[in-house]
Amino acid sequence: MTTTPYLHRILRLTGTTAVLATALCLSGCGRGEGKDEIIRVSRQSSSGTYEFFREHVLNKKDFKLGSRDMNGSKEVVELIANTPGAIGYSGMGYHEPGRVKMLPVALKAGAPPVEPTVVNTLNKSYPIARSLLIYTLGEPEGEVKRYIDWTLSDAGQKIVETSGYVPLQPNEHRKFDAPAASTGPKVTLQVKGSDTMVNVAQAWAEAYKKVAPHVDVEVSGGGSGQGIAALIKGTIHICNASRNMKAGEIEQAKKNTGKTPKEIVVGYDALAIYVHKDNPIQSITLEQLAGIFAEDGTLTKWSQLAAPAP
Amino acid sequence: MKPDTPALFTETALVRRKYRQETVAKWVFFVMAAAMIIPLLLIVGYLMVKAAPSLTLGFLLDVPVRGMTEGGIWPAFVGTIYLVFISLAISAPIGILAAVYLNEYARDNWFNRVINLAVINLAGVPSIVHALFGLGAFVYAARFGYSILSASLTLAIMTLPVIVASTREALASVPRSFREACWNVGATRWQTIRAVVLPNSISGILTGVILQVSRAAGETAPIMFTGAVFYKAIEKGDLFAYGLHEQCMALSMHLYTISTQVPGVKESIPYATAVVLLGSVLLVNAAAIALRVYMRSRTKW
Amino acid sequence: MSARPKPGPAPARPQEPSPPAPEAYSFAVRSARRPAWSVWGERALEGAIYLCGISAIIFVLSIFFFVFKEAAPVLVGGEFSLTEFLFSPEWYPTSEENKRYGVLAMLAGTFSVTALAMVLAVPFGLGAAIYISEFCGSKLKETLKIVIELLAAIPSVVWGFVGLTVMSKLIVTYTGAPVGVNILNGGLILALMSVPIIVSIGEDSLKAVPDSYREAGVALGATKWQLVRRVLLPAAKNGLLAAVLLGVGRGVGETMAVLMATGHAVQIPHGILDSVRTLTANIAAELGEAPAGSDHYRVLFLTGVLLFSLTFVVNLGADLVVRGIRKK
Repeated sequence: MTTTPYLHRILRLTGTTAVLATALCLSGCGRGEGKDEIIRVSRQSSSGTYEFFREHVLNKKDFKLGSRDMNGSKEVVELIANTPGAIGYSGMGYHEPGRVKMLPVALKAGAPPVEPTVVNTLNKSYPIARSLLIYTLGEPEGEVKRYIDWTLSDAGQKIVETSGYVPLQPNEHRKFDAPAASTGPKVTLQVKGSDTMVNVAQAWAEAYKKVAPHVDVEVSGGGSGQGIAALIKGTIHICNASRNMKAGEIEQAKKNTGKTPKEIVVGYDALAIYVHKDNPIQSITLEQLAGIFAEDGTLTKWSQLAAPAP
Repeated sequence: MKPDTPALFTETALVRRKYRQETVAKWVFFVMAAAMIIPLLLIVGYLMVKAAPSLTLGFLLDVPVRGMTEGGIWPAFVGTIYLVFISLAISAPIGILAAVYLNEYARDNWFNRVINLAVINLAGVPSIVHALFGLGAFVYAARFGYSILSASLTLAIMTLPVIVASTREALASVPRSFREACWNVGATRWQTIRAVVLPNSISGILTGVILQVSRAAGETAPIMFTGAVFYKAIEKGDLFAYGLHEQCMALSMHLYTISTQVPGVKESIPYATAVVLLGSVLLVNAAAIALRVYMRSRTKW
Repeated sequence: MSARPKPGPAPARPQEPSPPAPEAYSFAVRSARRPAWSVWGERALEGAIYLCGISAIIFVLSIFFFVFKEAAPVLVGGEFSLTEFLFSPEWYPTSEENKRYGVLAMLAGTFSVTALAMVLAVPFGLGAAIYISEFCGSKLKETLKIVIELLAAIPSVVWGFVGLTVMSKLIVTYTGAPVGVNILNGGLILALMSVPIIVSIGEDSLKAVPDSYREAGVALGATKWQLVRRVLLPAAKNGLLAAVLLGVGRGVGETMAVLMATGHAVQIPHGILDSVRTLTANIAAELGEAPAGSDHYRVLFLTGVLLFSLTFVVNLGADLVVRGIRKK
């Protein structure tokens, strides 16, 4: 063999590239945002939270690309807790005191910022509060009805509260007749949808197993979009959603299954804006949020928010 | 290499350089080999240390409680067992018979080369494409819905090519003279296969199938859209919790959900789940490898 | 490895469970006396074997068929343009005003993560293969091969978890990156995942070089390193190339690990500390979100077709390269 084999050259080339890449990385040329840069943390587009945020904060404009789109509400909070320059949105149930903080939100500049608390959510003074919903195909019947009645009872609503959300007012609670539900042939209820609600749904399923041992509740997340899609296909019994079904989706469900989706409010959530615990920023307005997250937004640095870099 | 010194068998500068180069090369390659093993040990060690507070038998047998933030992983563990066994029950017979065809019956013509190519490509299809296929074919087209059945079928197709490949290797290691001896006493092809080829290669075949247990147990993407759920309430220690047309929890999926979606999980639980998944996979693999080493040492030819 | 079969030794186990009947002394007589069910049973079984044999083709075709079937309507549906799909970085599948399906950013993500992984894994993988095949003793060799097999068995979701928890903290500490889930993280994880396949295929191809080559080299006074460089690498280059290609295939197709470790941001990366989203992760995150039949759903399946074709080409390439050595 007189000629150097080409593999040899490949080897040498990759070796050189490896060295270069390492050097690049160590010298800090690998871009990455500076301290002042706002790191946007968002959700994947199947999430109801994502759509709610787009509708109510961005006024239906699109998100700016390049945000970190997490697959779960917990991942959002987790990333923000580890990243000083980050800002993101998630359900209030995912708050981790001491690691992240929730920013008070003002409707517009000059208006008083409002904390995302239970009281402010119930009296609707918090600007981005929403209902937690479940949908069924047609009026709920049989075991599905019993299950839903139970989630709306005192016991079910207690779980909403312990999961970190806002339960319905006591006068909205339903009566639940426990003994009647505790027997019957084995049934499986399929629940799917919102990631915001998946922890509530899971806690319900866990507790309901004790109330009615013959009912197996299967809970899946995936996002409100996924739940609604599955409801339209008729493959699940109950859909969790953190946004309302769109008119088109209701039409489609009617066409596909012949039944009208029934909407039931099971609790309330304040869509909280999270930042790192050491971030000095005190409050934020909806306009500023739109400026950060929207496609045509111009806010990319913390200093533009009249806040020092975290 | 031109010898530039008349004196033979003495150490010249060239020779010294040559050996120096060899030593350097040897160490460089050694470091490269070590660089793969050390991360493995570090990672496993780190996971074990982090998982230690939760690693008890109770963790394995208990059901998750308090919004999956505490308790055990039993439903996920059982679900994984279901998925693995059903998928292997489907893929092992098909895979073994396919390998028998390819190794014992097929002639070297274009058609069989296409089959070979198909096996190789099936092995290379990304797991998420298997998921798309499972969703389109089993969940929707075949109307199995989101179920253990759909998920297992998807996994079965994924593990099939590797079973074919390992079985073929095992069959090919049976010397041809064995077959010839059998044909010479008048046995048909199938009789030869049953009486001579399979008994002599069964350990290799088994090893290949066992190795796929770990592959099937570890996959997440193909089952995420075909039959694995976030949570399902079952009884603690219940081994017959799931039906074929129900969905189930699975260890790999459970690890994904508790590390990305469930708030306030006790810190050691995701680590412990990872260790249980990793541990069962590595145990099964180690068993398969031990079986192979043992059988190889007993091979008489 | 597999020693030449010695002629002679009878199969280990008896072939017939019962002693032959007296009239079975003649082969012809005996085969004529086989009961019909046995003959037909055997034919049926061989039919089944044949069916299983071609099942691989059926499965590959049906995978392509089903994935393509779900994707196809969007291609003829008017609004969607394939050029935009491949060359636009704008991915707005759920926009209210202007839906845009461009996967360029995801393609860039997939390629940047895979490329970084290969830059790390190829030298290390081939180096390890050379060490295992040429430099170490047989005991160490067996041990190393077992370790590599175990490394290959680690589930991708565990790798993803490691990337998300351990690796991201290390990256933030040592590189000063603001976010630990990025190309570097994904690349490191993928490198560790694809090293085993590169090592095992690479080692196989070095093993396939005839010993006579080595003997010839040693007879000329070559050291091991000279042997590796001047004889083995040229002789095994096709196999090594195939190893690299299979590693690339693994990298492109990996889902869970990159889903958890790369940060999932739709953008064309400018450096290795940027977060990206890969094609596979995008499908995993968004599949099923849109009702079956919507454009978004179909575009995701189209991404699947794209991935399938990519890995098909890579695997086909690897196979052709390997076939090249066999022919020689």
